[in-house]
Amino acid sequence: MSELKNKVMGSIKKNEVKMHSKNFFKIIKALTEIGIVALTLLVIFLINLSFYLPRKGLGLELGANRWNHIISVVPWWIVILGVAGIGLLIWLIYRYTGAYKKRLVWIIGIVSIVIVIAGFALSVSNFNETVGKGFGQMNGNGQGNGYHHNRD
Amino acid sequence: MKLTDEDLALKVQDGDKEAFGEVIDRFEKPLCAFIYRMLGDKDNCADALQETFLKAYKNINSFDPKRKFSSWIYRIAHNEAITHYRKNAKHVVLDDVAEIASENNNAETIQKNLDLEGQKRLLDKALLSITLKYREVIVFRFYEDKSYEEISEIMHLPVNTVGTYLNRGKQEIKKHFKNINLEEIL
Repeated sequence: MSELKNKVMGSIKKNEVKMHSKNFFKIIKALTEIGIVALTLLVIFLINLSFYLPRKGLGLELGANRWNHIISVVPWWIVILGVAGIGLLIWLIYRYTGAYKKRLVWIIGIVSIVIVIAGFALSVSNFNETVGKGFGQMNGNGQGNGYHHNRD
Repeated sequence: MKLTDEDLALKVQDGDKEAFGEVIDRFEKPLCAFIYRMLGDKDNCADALQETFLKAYKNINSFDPKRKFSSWIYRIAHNEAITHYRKNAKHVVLDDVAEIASENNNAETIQKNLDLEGQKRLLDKALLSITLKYREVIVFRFYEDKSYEEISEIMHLPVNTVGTYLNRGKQEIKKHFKNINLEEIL
C-alpha cells in the first residue's frame, strides 16, 4: 500500500474526513438556483428603474440643456448596481450551470441583452405605477408615488 | 469482473470506504503524473495529490454516475494543482534548454546529442516554462490522452477554446525549441 493511500485511508477510517451527504449537495444546488433566479429578478427590477426613473423625471426640458438634464436625472447608483448585478449573474451562470461549454462572450451578450430587454419591457408596462401605488398605500398617503422622482 | 470507475464511485457513495482505496489505486499514478507535469515539484505534487483524494472523498456525493468519473476527479486535481501553483508560484529557469538551443541551434545536432529520454526531459522542462493553462491542455492531450470533450469538461472551457489553447501552447514550446521539429518530439 502506498504512503499516500495509507494517509488518505487512515484519515477516512478515523473519520477525520467526512463525506458530505447527498442532501447537502441538493441543498447547495437548490440555493444556487434560487439565488440565480432571485438575482435575475432583482437585476431586471434595477434595470427597469434605470429606464423608468429618468423618463419620469425628464419633463419637457428641451434644447442644449436637455442632455445635461438627462444625465442629472439618471439614477446612477441604480445603474451601477444593475450593471454589477449583471456581472455577478453572469459569473454565477458561468460557474454553476455548465454554461462554460459556450464562449464567455456569448454568455455575456445573451444575459445582458435579455436582462436589458426584460428591464425595458417592465419599465414601459404599468408595473412601476402599480408597485408605486402599493408603496403609497402602505405609507398611508394613497398617492402611489413610492419611489418616483419628484417632478416639481 | 472489474468494476467501472463509475460503479466504484457508486459503491463509495453507498458508504463502502474500502472501495475508495480502489479509487486511489486506480488514480494515484495518472493523477500524480498530471500534477507533477503541472507543478514540476515533487513535494507540492504529493500535497496536491493528497488534497485531491481527500476532497474527492468528501464530495463524492456530488458526482453524477451518468458522467465520467475520471473527468470528475481530474477536475478536482486540476483545481488543486492550480491552487498549489498559485501558492508556490516560481519561474523555472530552463538553463539546459536555453543552452542547447543557443549553442546548437539546429535540430539535427540536438537530436544527435539527445536520446529519446533526453528529448522527453527537455520537453518536460519546456512545458514548465509555458503559460499554465496552455501547459495543462498539452498535458491532458498528449500525456493523458484525453479527448477535447474531456479536457473541456475538466477545465470548464468550450471545446473550441481547448483547440486554441493547444495551438498556443505548441507555439510557446516552439519558441523554446526554435529550429527543432516539434512534431517529431510530440
